[in-house]
Amino acid sequence: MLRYTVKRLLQLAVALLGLTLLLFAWFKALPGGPENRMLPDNATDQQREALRQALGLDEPIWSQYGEFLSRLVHLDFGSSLSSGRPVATELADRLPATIELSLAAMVIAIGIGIPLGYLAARKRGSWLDFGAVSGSLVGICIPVFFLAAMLKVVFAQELAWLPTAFRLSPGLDYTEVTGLRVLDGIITGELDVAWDAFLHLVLPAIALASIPLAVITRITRASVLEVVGEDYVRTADAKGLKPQTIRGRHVMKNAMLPVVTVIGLLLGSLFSGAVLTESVFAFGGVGSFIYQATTERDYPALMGFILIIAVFYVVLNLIVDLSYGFLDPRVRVRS
Amino acid sequence: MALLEVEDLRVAFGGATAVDGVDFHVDQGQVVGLVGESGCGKSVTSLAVMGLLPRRGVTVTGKARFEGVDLLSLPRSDMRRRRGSDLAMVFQDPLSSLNPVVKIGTQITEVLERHRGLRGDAAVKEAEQLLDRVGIPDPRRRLGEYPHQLSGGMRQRVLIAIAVACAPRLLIADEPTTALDVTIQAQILELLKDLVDSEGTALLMITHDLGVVAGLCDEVNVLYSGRVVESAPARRLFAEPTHPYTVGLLNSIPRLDLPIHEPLKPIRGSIADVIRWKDGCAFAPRCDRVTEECVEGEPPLIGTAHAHRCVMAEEVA
Amino acid sequence: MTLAKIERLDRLIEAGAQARQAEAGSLWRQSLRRMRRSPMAVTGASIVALFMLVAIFGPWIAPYDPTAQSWGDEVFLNRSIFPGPRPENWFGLDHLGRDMFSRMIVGARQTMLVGVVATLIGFAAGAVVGGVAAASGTFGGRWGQRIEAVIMRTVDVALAIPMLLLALSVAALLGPSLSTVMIAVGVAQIPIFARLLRGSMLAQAHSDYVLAAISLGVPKSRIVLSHIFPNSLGPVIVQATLVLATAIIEAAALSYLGLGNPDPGTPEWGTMLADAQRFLSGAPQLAIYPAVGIIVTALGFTLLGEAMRESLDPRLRRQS
Repeated sequence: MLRYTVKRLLQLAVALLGLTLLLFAWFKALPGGPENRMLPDNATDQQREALRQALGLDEPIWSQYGEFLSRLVHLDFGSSLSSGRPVATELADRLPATIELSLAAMVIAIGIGIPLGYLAARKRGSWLDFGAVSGSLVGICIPVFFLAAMLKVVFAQELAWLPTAFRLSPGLDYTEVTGLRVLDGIITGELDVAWDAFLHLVLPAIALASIPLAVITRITRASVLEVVGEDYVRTADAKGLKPQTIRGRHVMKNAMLPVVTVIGLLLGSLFSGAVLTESVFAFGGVGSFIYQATTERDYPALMGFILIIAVFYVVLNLIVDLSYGFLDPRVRVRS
Repeated sequence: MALLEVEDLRVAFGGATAVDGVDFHVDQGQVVGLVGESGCGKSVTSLAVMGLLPRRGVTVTGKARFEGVDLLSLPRSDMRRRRGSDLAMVFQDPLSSLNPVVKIGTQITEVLERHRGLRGDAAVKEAEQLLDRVGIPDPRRRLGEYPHQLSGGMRQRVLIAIAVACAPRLLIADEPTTALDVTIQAQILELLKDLVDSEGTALLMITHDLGVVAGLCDEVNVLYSGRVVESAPARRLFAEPTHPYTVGLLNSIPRLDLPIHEPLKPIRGSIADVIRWKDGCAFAPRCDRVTEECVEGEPPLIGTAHAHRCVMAEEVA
Repeated sequence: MTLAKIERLDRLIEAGAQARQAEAGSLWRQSLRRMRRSPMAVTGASIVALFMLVAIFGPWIAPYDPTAQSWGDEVFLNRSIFPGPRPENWFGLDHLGRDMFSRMIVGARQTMLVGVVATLIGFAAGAVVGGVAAASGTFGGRWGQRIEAVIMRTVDVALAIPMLLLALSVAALLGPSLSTVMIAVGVAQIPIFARLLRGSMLAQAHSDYVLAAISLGVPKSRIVLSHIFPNSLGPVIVQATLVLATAIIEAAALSYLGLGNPDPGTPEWGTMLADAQRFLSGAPQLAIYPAVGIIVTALGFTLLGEAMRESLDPRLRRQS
């Protein structure tokens, strides 16, 4: 298991290095180069040249890459072209909101998807099964931003059951601990904050959960159906074990393996969805920031974001892989 | 008294009949063979007796009396309490029949826990003894390993250990050696024989291999197209096979005591060439001695100690 | 070996490949037969067929010019000025007074174009990347294996970038327009196609007939191009069907983020949906029509793709 972990860590380092290369290439390929965006339109050629030198754009390409890398390592992505604040600070301020939203969506998707997929498989051919299968197909096909917008119109604007935007109602006093506001409210005992933050989280989390929920339901169903037909489940039955033992130890333990892999793969689409959902609900996370950065061609912000998200994604996938090794003894030995 | 008495067992998957009125019995401590080609219904018969057929789309009728109690009409929870303790089963493919992500130890102790109430250390100790009894060296270490870390023969020994863990009175073995190397096959058969002899367990051996039958069984039932076509004590069956199908099976085995250039005589056609039993003998399309009598209605089972289902048998003998 | 001998061997291998292709043909035919019995496949295929027909003949079917502003110069200040469905305009009028029904019908073509072009970009580039990786890894010796490793690690890294981000980066390079959306969505699909094709080609490369061709001395380039590659396309085609659905949805998302061309002359469902967000509480129908169009079309491609995958999957085939 240790060797497996070390090997995966090494692979991660290589992958990240490759990513910085891609990012660097992308950065170099940007139209006009950043110096044009940073200067007024009537800048003279001399001003341009001075800035190019200041940015190190005249040095040989490999030393530029070296410089680029060392800045990335120090989390120095430069300043946001639109706000003027360091990109790292901007991101650090906004990440907790996105993490809270993604976590909430994943909790919904896993908490409902796995039991629903299991029930659909056990009651194969029933109305429940039909509903779960067709519901998950439709769930994959609904554009996330449309679902988010419709939820907002119906439940926040027309019915007014839930707030339309932001993370907290104005005027509430809030003490930051982790940045995840529901959690913070519970930690500090400000239960009104926790409840209010929770209400603000409900609609965006449901919208963001739609795709992962659909995928997890389908995979769980397919996986359970396959495992139930395996010989070892018949053996467990032949031992006369209680149904709950067969279900937990023999069916679910095996059926969860592909589900864990898929959860890892879903994390990428989760971040994409977060950008869209946050912009509908003005959620104030990284998503809204990056939406703005894209429309304004704020390259340092985009680059910092891509790197941070890629690191997140790669690390989360490492965790998924390691937990997979923990769940499936065959993986441990193969490595 | 018969330990297991199967009477007119019929199993149909949707419209397709797999078992078409099978009768046989297993006495206490006896080794009984159920022989036939693949597709003749022998595995389905054993799964039906164990109550392991899926409920959906399968109809099972007839009786399977175990110590006088009909297993087929038992409530599911009662049957679950008997499986693994009163009657147990060993399957064909030891790799796929063991759960890949659960330790060998747990896969043994869970059955001890369920039927014998053993827990914790007591269960582990018993599991260790069981592994030792089925001839696995260093049992303590093996308990902590996973199925893929064991060889094929070892895995089958583990499955046997699980099956005999609660000292069942009937052990059903469904082609237990088919998936194994030839050298290992003999060891596994030897092990089964030893366990059965020392414990007085009855064994229902399901196989297509007449060699296995000859070495192990007291009684033999030959199945064809979902019915018993011949049933006799093993010695008599080999000495005077009566049904043309049994004769054909025996003739298609290579023998050392025949002249070298004598060609083998395979049974012609395949198991797909059948007619329905109620119209005549299902084997008739492949039989060398077929006459018009063979397709005039259902052939009855003739005889008791050595029974067969061939209307032409007198002439054959 | 004489030249004639080589030629003869070559012909023999060719004949073998043809026989295999005939077999493969019957495999596809078998799948087709199975699919005709599956309600999933029939539904999916019907939706896709209907969508295709509308996409092709749309401009001739549409009752009005989709760009004509029949509402003249009137200013729309409140919801009552967005006419809903009525006899002369089945789906009502949009915010500029254009006939929604005509816009939906004509818009199908652009929507399909976005999906198809994006998928083709992903497919073609992915096929080159994955194909080169598999070919060099299998036949290129030690250096080839290194090349393969480098390519595949890069693909892994690219997979680690969420699709929308990749699309955003491309859009940052090219500026907003409908072709940006197509390229962005297509580029984001490259790693998926590359991995899939490589996996499929490796499976073929280890099959017996390839071994036979190698042992007979058939040039490696020939084995790859005329045997391995064509035989590995099955799963990739299935994936392409599924990607078409994703591409249409993702394209709508990019339009929503303002990366498409806002309200171009020719209507497109994704752009229509994005534009309609502004009027969502007053005139939700403007969003619902294109949304339903996108959802149903995506559903059609997904159903068809899933049904194809099921019918081609040998494990599932055995059970039927």
